[in-house]
Amino acid sequence: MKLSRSYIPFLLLAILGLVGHSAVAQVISFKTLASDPISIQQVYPLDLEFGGLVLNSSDPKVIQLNGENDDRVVVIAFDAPAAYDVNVYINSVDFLENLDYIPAQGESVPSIPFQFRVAYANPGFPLSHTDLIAARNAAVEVPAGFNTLTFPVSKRAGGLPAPPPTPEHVGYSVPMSRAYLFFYGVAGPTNAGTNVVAGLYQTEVVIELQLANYD
Amino acid sequence: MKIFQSVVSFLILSFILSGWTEVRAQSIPYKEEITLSVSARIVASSPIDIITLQNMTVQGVNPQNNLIYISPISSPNAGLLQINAEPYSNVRIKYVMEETLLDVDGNSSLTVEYELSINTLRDQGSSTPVFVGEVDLLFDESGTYFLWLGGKIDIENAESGSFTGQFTFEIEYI
Repeated sequence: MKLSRSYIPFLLLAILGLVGHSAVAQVISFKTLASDPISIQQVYPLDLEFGGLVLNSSDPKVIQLNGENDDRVVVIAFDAPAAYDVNVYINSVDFLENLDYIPAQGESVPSIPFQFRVAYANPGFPLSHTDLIAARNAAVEVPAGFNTLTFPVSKRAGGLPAPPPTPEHVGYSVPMSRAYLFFYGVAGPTNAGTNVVAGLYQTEVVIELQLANYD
Repeated sequence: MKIFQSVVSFLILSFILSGWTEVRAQSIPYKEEITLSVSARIVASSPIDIITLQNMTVQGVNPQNNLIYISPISSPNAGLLQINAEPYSNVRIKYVMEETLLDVDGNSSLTVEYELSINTLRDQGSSTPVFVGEVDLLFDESGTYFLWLGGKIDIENAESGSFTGQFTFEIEYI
């Protein structure tokens, strides 16, 4: 009895330790990847260029995914572990500005409306994939106005969810897949802008890709 | 002894806690970021310039079934116009598809049904035919379009004479 009493503090602490341990188990993250979990492979063309618009026109310039001016669609390929989801955050404004123009006092910076659109293709392409036509045909368009999207790096078949991905360990390489993002949109019309003069109108869109973190 | 046991227990707990911290540290999200530049150039609508390089002529064309046909794509008798506009602009052309040709004396007339073909290059063989009375042109960086003019002339009821007429079209930025 004397022996067991002397171990009471230890047992208490061990129980506390166990309680702590079981709570820890709830937040185990499988994201223990060692190297480059997301890498952007290709950006083509580099910029989203709408080309020429005419002053005081009611016709906007449209770049469609598979249609009007589709050779101007910006395509990004990225490689990531196939079993994960990716979050895409888009930081964009809804106008293009004439940054060369110096407005007089009380005058606003010339601007025209701009709508940024995004689509993704994730049928589970291998890392060697380069066929942009196949990628476009597999693309899913995100409705206008969304600036955050989450999708699996490789589209999962219906049915029960797959088991959690295998953690990385020695001698095991995580299965990777290539997915595509497409960027396009609408500029103008020029008669719907503010203080529109001739010139170059531009903006920058920051796109962040991140493996989804569900913990 | 008791103190020793407590210390051991504390160390075990510390290990567990430090292990937990390490797991948290591994769950840093992985990111990649890119920046796209978006641009559009707005141009003032400068006047559209039209140059007639060649008139449509009928000489030397043999009628078949009382019909003279000048193909805008293949006939050397087709008329040729050059249109200069602002690079990258959109232009709409509307034209009158049927026109009357009058003989110089004004006594008799013929009807011509025009056909057009267009190309950004001065290459008639690769030009694109236009079948309706309206066409939208998207100018490239050269700001130039070539337009070939041909047509069908019914000469079944024609009297001999010399006929002239016009081709009327309207062109505007859209």
